[in-house]
Amino acid sequence: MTFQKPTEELIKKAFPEITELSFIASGGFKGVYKAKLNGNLQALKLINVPEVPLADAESVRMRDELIRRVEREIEILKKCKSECIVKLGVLSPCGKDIEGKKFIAYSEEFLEGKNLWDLLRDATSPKPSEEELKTLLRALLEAIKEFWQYGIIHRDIKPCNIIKTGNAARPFVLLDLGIAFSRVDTPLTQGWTPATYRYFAPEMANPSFRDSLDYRADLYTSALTVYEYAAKVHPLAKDFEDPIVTVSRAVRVPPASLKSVRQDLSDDFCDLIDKLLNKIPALRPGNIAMLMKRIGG
Amino acid sequence: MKIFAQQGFAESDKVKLGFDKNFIDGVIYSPRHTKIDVLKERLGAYSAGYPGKELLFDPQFYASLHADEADWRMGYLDEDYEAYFKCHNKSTLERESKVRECLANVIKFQQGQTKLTGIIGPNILISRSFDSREAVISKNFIRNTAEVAADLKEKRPVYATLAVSYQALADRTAFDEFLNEITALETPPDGFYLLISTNGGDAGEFFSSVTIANWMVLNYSLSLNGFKVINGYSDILSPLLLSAGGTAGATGWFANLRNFSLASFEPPKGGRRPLPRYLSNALLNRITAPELDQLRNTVPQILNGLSTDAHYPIADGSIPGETSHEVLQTWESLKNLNGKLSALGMPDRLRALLKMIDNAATVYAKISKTVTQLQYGSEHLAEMAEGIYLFARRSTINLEDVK
Repeated sequence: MTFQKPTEELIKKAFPEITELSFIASGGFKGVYKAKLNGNLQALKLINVPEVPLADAESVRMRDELIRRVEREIEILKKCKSECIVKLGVLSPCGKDIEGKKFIAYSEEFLEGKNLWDLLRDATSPKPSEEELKTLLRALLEAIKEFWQYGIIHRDIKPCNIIKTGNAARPFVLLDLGIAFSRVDTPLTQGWTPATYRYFAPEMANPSFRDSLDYRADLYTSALTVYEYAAKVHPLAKDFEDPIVTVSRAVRVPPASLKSVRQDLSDDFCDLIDKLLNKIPALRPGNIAMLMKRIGG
Repeated sequence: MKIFAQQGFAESDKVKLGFDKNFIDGVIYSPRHTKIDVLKERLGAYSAGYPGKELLFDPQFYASLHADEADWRMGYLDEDYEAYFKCHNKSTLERESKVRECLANVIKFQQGQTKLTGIIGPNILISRSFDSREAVISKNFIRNTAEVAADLKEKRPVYATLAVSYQALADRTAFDEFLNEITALETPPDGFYLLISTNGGDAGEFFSSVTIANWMVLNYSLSLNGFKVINGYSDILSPLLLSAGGTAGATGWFANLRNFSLASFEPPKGGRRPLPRYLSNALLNRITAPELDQLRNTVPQILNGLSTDAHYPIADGSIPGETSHEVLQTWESLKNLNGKLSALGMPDRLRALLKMIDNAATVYAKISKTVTQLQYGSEHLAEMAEGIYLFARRSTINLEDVK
């Protein structure tokens, strides 16, 4: 799964309303650009819809799943009102042929700031304060709460999907619902588990997770993200290791307490993060209102 | 950390005395043993005389699957509580509409008892496994309890009953899945009334480490998720359960009010009246009054040093003079134990319990040097300690770091 990146000239030709364009990142079939559309700064998303032979049922199914995932992401973003979740932009979803290849395009608001992955990997960036970590956790809890109202689990909460904006009104914003799971819709995938293995809730390893997955998987990955952002070290995964080893650790190995790597943080906050990292969903504190209260939300 | 009276046969003035002495924080009524007019009269009197005490009613619906079995003893359930207590079978309860009907009947009955401070929903007993037809029915009761109560405009706290055998608790995978489900309900109740069933009899008084650990996990998980947890028939395990996050434990005056078992509904098997016992906090166990009498001078640590010690007078061979004395001594002892733990935070409570267990082993060692042979030895201590360690491991609570 790789994004076949068209040239910027061809994109601009396909979207005459674009006046400025620069590539940001790509992943899977998706590319993200910083674009000025009719004067509005936007995050332009291009999703490469692969050409597949109609006789190849599996490829057709994969392509249809990709399209359905984009549709689901847009449907969810239309519903969500929280300032902690990225908002749709000015470009409504549309199909485009660029250099003979099919794309789906739409835009989200462009968020100034850095993602947490870049910040935690920046050796010059100081470790965040407890207040900042609580603000981050509050933002994630607010987003999770809103998703769950619609029976949605984000499933991909991780540092690179969170932007630190520098805007006090919405200091952290969560992006990318590309692999969101819906408890109310028909499952989109069968037989495999879309996930970022470094940020993998242990219950996702259960072959029948689709029957029981709930928002507590997002609580787990939120805690994982807060831990990693706080400590600049992942509590379970190691760089460049086999994903199977990472997943195995997620399922079996208890992480070291946050306190052991950030002694300056309060016992209560470290205890909360540690509890949210329990392997068993029922042994995580799952009442979001109580969690908010505990961190002063 | 509260202690409730688990009411049963022959209440007389026991609950009233428990309230008078402030040993108990509430009572859970058993309709099987209580005529409905007595229930109303007692609730009225306690509500007026003891504001702040919790008055609850266990509908004992779990017995309804056995209501037509010959010689089973349903007591007043059949006669006075027919508004909700009928014979049911598992097949009919597999229909959600039937479950909701049963819930509505039980809740409406309790709505008629305006002095109750909370409502306990009905449920059946999961007798063998969480991966069973019984568990599906039980989940349906739990899932619908708060919804039906809300439909009936009930404003008091509503508790869903979870009644499960210790055997079912032992299957960890099925237990975890069940727990995951009941902690993520769309319309959650305010709390749970937990009943862990034994096989009955004295052997059930102390459970295995696995049962203790899982019962603690239930308390921990439910409280962590914002639920109040009332443990029925928890007796001497109450301090462990409350240390894990439970809200209240309960115990009563007869052995069948100290551990929960449907066997108590079965035809009587005979047997003689047990000797009165003394709950020794130092032993975390009961000893018989004659054992107390033999040991109180040579191993004085077995005495709690509480007001109810006076109910076991040396002059009378340490035999209590009133039938209420034994349970008052139990309630005061448990209150005292809880008091030692309640000021501590979670890992420290567990550490304090482990220290109590160590101390108890020392006292048992002293007893072993005397001529007294105890009816029950110190086997429970290892089970309790192992149960606490198992619970801590599963809940990722670190008992090693001492601050």
